[in-house]
Amino acid sequence: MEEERAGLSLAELSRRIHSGEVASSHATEEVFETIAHEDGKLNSFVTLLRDQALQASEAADQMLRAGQDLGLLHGVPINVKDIFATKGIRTTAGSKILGEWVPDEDATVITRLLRAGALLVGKTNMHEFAFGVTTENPFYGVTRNPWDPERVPGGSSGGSGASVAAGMGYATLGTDTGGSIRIPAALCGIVGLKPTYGRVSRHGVVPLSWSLDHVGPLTRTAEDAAIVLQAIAGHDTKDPASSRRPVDDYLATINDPIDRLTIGVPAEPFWDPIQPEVASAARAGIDVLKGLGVTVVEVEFPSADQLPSLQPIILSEAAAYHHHWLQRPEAADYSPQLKTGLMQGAIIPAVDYVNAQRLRGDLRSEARDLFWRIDALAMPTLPIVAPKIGESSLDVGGTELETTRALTRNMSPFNLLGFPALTVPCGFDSQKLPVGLQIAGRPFEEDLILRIGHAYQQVTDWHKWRPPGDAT
Amino acid sequence: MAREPLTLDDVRRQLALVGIEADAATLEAVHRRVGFARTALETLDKLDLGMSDPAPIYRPDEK
Repeated sequence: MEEERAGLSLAELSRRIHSGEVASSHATEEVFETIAHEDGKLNSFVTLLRDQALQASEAADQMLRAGQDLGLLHGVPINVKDIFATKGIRTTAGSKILGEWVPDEDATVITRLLRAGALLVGKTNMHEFAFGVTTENPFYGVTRNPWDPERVPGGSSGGSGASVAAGMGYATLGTDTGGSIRIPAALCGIVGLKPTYGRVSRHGVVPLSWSLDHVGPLTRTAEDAAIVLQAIAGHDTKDPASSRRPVDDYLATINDPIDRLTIGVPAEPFWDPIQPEVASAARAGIDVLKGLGVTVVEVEFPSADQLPSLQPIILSEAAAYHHHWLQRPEAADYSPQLKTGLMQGAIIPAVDYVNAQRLRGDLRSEARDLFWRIDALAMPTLPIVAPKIGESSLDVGGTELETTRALTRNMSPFNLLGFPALTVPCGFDSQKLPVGLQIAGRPFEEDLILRIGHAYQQVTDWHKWRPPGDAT
Repeated sequence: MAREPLTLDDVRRQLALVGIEADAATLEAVHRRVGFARTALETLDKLDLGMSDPAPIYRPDEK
């Protein structure tokens, strides 16, 4: 495995670009070389922006030579899920319906990334309209997991997860409605952060479900996630859910000790059923935190039995967004699976939707109360490793579970609550497939969960392992 | 009173009420999914959400 431990973090690349040790143009060329070598097999990208990125990287190098520094993302090649509107660049949302859509403005987060100096390498493949968690896309092909190409990378931000894991970009942006950042991050062995609802603008992001949608980074390290979050977080008048709370300085506290923290480990529903090797890796991860001086206590997660029932009801918001297409000839351009899911949402009664939102508010209050006793929660990100392509159900510790259910069970509570959640790689199973540890926190305490993730990564090296074939 | 299960024709009519037309295969698939969602709806039915509290609205700025 030693020869597979390679590849720079975004933070380290940034340091080298700023010191003049590495030119942005050289780093960007290398990313495209890796893409040429790897992506024929993985199919992570829908659109590549080679000329634009190389031109931007040369401009970034010139600016630095002239003493103009845009910050830590200056000259860093990144990519974004093809759900973010990009001015003059096709934005498909993984769909046939938007297959030729060329937006005339950038999403707010794209504007912020570019202003912070990042370069766009390309736009990554995803599950159709983000309604699914495997990235088996009927129009742009299946994205494959870099650790085993016979397996899915997760989704819906699957191209994003695969691309960063395989060294085809130093960070990426994804969206998370029921786990779509954290699932591919965990299955591909990288870091994924779903921030607090309202922390990052969704303006210019093709919606799936307005009250569940979040935008966040997928990176190699927690520190990298902090750098990207710093660039994209903050109020945006164009997103009505956007918070006016000031944005913390995430790097200022990331090295602070964590030994005075108390972390709760919830039992139900996060550990049962679960693949035994996944449970072992997650337990070992929690033991590492204990070793760093954290107090670990078992806690009961509030209303664990009720939360999963809310997701399918609230997800009916997607039917509202898609309603105008469902009524028109464009409906023929949906995959049968998506069309069925949207139509099911279209007949959820309004009374059930409103009552689900009422219950959601109550559960959020109960979850806030839990955080009086603890600083954060830790649990396995997922109960399984990456499923095989086409595997619609699988054995999870002796229980047969639908793949979608298995992949979303530990995710959707934090979309419903709106609380921030981070996944960090915490080991591998015997097939050499990655396992993630999820750390969730209080609203707007991304600084704390990033600090915990960073402390964990200072004493472990799971995030340094690279998939076979990665040229970085 | 417990919820009555939706028939295939109920699904077709409910979709028609929101202006959506579906072919037979899609209707069958939607009907199956509605069955899965029924568990979620029945879970809600069992809960007491209170008689007088205002419906909570999530405020992102709330700590």
